[in-house]
Amino acid sequence: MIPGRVAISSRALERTVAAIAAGALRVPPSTVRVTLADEAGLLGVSVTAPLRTTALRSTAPADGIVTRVQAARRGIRAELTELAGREIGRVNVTISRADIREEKRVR
Amino acid sequence: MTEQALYRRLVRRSLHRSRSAAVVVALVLLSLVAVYVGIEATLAALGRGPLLITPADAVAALENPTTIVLAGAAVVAIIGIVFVLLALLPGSRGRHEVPNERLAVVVDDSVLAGAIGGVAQRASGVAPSRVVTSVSKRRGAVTITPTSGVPLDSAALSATAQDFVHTLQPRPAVKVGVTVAANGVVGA
Repeated sequence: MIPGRVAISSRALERTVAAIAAGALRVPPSTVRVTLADEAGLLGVSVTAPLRTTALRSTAPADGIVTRVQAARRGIRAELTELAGREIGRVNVTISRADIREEKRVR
Repeated sequence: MTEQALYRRLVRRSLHRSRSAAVVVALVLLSLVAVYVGIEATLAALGRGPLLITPADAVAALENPTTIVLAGAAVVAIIGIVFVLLALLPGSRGRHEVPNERLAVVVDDSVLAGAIGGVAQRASGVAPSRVVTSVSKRRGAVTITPTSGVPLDSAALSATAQDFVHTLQPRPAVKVGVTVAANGVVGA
């Protein structure tokens, strides 16, 4: 074992979580806000992000919002465990608004 | 005196407080009281007026004590208890002896605590500021605040710290326990 230790600042962890969450929710990282907290020794993650969605009138097939957010939470947890090597406690995702993208007609 | 006996004596003097100050105070108080009693007895024998109180009045006051006399007795009793404790307690100075072939080595408990804390800190991988260590006569206590999501094994850390103490062999022997705080800290 090499002498010394690895320290990851909370700021770095927050930006990592923001990037992972942005990828899982398919929104820009700058729109994602992250709060980290200790939960009895585990790392608790709270993410506030917009939800990317198509227009309500859209006829394109899509999963329900809850299904997609659950999938995003699983993705955040798995990827963060792998990247940061931390045991994750709760993963809270708060959807603050809808990021509506009108899909373009295929020309 | 052989060198070994000299070292033993020096180490003992370093580990325990001298009782000479308490002895000086106790004897000065005792002699002041004796001188005063002598003066009053002499004045009474010569038939002169008392300095404060005649011996006969003093004995009468003790037989039928007033509140003031009882209060004074209580103060004297407390002073007596303090002196008894000073005489009987070991008067430890917060130091341990570390055996050495050629030298008499005495280590302050805070230094011992720093060394034990350093071992626990390196074994746990947290920042030095998150490790708090204290050492008393027979016990050492290390408290580590973990990093959130990085579990620490307090039993393994305790064993590591205890192994380190075994290499030092401080006297009196110190039993070390490492406690991992229930709540961690997010940042490094």
